[in-house]
Amino acid sequence: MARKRRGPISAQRGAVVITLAPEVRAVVNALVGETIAVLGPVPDDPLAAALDTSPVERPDDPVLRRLLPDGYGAEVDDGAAAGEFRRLTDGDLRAAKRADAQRVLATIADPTLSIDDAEAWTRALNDVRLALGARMGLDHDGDAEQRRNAAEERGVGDPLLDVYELLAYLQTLLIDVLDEIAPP
Amino acid sequence: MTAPVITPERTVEPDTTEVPDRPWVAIVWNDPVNLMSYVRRVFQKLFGYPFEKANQLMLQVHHEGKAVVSNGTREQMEADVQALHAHGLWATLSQDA
Repeated sequence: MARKRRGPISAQRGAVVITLAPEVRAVVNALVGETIAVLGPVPDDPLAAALDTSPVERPDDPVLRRLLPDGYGAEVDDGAAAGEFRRLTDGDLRAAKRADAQRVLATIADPTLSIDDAEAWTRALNDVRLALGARMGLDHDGDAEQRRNAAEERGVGDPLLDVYELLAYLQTLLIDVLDEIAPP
Repeated sequence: MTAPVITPERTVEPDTTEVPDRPWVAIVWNDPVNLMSYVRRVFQKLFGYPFEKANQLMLQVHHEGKAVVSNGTREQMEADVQALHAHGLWATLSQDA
């Protein structure tokens, strides 16, 4: 089968090969590690945590609120159903996101990725982008472009936005390759 | 883990607020971060939709701000919303109007 290259990402015998420059790898490593930190520690006793019936508060931090959103919209709920949904799902959702992030950290040194690993990469990169978007206050379509234009007008760089766009590029390439070799 | 159980309160008058036939729906809301190809692929993967249907739903989210992506029992929709959250999509469930 012909090997098709797309920048740093290629498909090879049912696997996805990601060739990242060391500095890009360092950035991905640091930011995915930050997702794990933001999600908080794994509960000491998962069984006790699962059986715990005390309420789970809606996070104040905008990053965490975007990663762990309400399950019921304000238009249909007085907060009770959303609270109950959060109590039931918060632990599993954090665990799923932690697992995706950890898979990136485990495979970043020699990234010939299985399809499953590559899928985890797309989700973990997405979580990092959601976190960066929340930090930058990107709430509406076009906010990133507006931020880029504002930085250019002032003649300054915008490293946060640079990273955000770099990760969007990597995520796009990953999805293209996955669509090709592992269509859903 | 169990789904929430709703215990109807006993009242003298028959309770008319509970309409079991109205299906629940999972709604995905537009946000500026999620990539269009990613959202389309998530719809294909989670719901088994063919490319075209998934793509159409993604475009509806993008242009109209939201789209109903699945419907069923409350428990099924809670599971769908949780799976959508695990993929980073902004989703909520509600009872169909």
